[in-house]
Amino acid sequence: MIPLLHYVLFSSTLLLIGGYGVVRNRNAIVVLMSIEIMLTAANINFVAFAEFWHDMGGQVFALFVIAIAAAEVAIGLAILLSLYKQRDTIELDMLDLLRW
Amino acid sequence: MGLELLFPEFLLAAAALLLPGTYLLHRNARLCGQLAVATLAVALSATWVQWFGEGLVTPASYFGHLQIDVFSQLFKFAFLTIAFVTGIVSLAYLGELPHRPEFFTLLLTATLGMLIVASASDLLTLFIGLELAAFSSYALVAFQKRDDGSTEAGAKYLLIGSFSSALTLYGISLLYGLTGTLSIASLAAHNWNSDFSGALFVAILFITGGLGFKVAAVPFHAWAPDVYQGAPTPVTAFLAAGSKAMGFVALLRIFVVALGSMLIEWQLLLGIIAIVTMTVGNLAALRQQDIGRMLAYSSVAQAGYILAAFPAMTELALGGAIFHTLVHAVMKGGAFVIVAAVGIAGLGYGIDGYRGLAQRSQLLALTMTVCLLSLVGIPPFGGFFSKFWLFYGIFQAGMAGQQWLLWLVIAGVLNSALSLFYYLRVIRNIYTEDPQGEARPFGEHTRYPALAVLLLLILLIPLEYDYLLTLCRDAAASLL
Repeated sequence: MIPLLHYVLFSSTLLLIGGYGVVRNRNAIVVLMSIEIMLTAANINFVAFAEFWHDMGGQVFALFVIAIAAAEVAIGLAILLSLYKQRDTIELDMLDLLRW
Repeated sequence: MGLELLFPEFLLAAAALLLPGTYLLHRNARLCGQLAVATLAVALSATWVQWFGEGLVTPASYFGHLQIDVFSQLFKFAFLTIAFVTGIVSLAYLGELPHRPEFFTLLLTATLGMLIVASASDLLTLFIGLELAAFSSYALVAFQKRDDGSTEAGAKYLLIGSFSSALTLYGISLLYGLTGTLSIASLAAHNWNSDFSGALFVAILFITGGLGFKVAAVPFHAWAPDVYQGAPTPVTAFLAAGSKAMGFVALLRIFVVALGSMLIEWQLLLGIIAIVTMTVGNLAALRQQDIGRMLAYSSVAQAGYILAAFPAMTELALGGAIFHTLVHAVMKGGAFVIVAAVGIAGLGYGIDGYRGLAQRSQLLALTMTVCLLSLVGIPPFGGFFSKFWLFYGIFQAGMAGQQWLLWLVIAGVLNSALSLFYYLRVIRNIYTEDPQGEARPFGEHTRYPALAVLLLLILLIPLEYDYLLTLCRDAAASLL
């Protein structure tokens, strides 16, 4: 039996990796992928805590989050695609039209 | 328990599914738009009838996931009204653009998400409602896909929005780990065993990060000006009025209800965020030349005023906060309706475009002026009453014991004075300058919503504030 602490350490590491990816990357697709990693981190927490508390709620939440993450990628890619069609780039540094 | 109280939700879900089908069969985009607006009108009147006709004696709970009480009915009514007005203005604003049926479908699903948030009694339902509304809004913001600004605003909104919702989700998972429950009622009843828990504070930080984004609180406000400027103006109105109110509903449910017993963990945090938010918002608004950006920063400042009521945690302060959230939706929504009208007329989106508006249309000029003065909180208009009760509630809580709350009131009053400067710049343009350039006439579609907003702000809210405040205090009492 793996102790709960290991799950929490694993998930917080994943969250940090995801957060680092969001902050440091200039490519919108990679940022989107990093956000998915953050969602996965939360999912691992949910499943581990559900096992710990013997409560199904957390596992159900994890299933919903997987569906939500899929929807997010679909919308994200659609918007980034239309951005790419206009500008031939999805570098975030190029998003400077709206600035004071 | 009958399901009739959920009729608006079912209706919107059904209409959102049927609308694309209708378009495929009839190929009539105008019809689809009108159907969506009609659906919203039916849902709105159903909520009205359920609320006032039969009254709400006891809260109705559905499987522990949804709960219809005074608070949720109040906000369901507000969200449907906002969506209805947005729908009417969009009919004119979108004109003959392609893909209008998709726009109205997304408007319906976004509204459905907001309704779910309003009545969620479980963190899972709350999160799904937030995401449904958020995903639909990402697509709505990026709707004009041939327009550079709209697409860029959509991409920014999407990336920042999903980042912050990932943070909220992680916070919720920590909260679940600490308590073993997702139900808001069980969280409220949870026995925390200690005065301060570091782990809970981390969870609170994550949740604040995510929901602070929704209400555009500093330091999570960076998206607001870009999105408000770039999005199609009716969508901006929808976000400024609806999405912001939804963020406050979620904040109230999580902090005041679920974590109300651990007030000490988040009281100071939200207090500091409130002061910083109102100050940064007002200072940044001073130098904006684009009306959308200016209103966005003013919206950031207003979020600060409303957040200031959270640390007070009294019925009067929270009632004032709910009242101000709703009145803010009217004022900000109204202001953006005028911005849309001026935009449709081809006058652009700069503050210069408002030169001599009074000579072009008395009604639009007057409505804009009343909305802006209301946002400052000048006495005879609607905004004064909500802001007064908001600050008075905090003041009373401060006098009753927690002295530091008085600083929130002082900061709020000083900030309101500061905000007068940039609103007056627009009003001076409207009345003292001469109009420049040609403009198309203003359409009926924007005239009626403008008139409705005007009547609300100068007649209904000032004359009936007593009744409205009681309503909001009842809603606040159902939370505490």
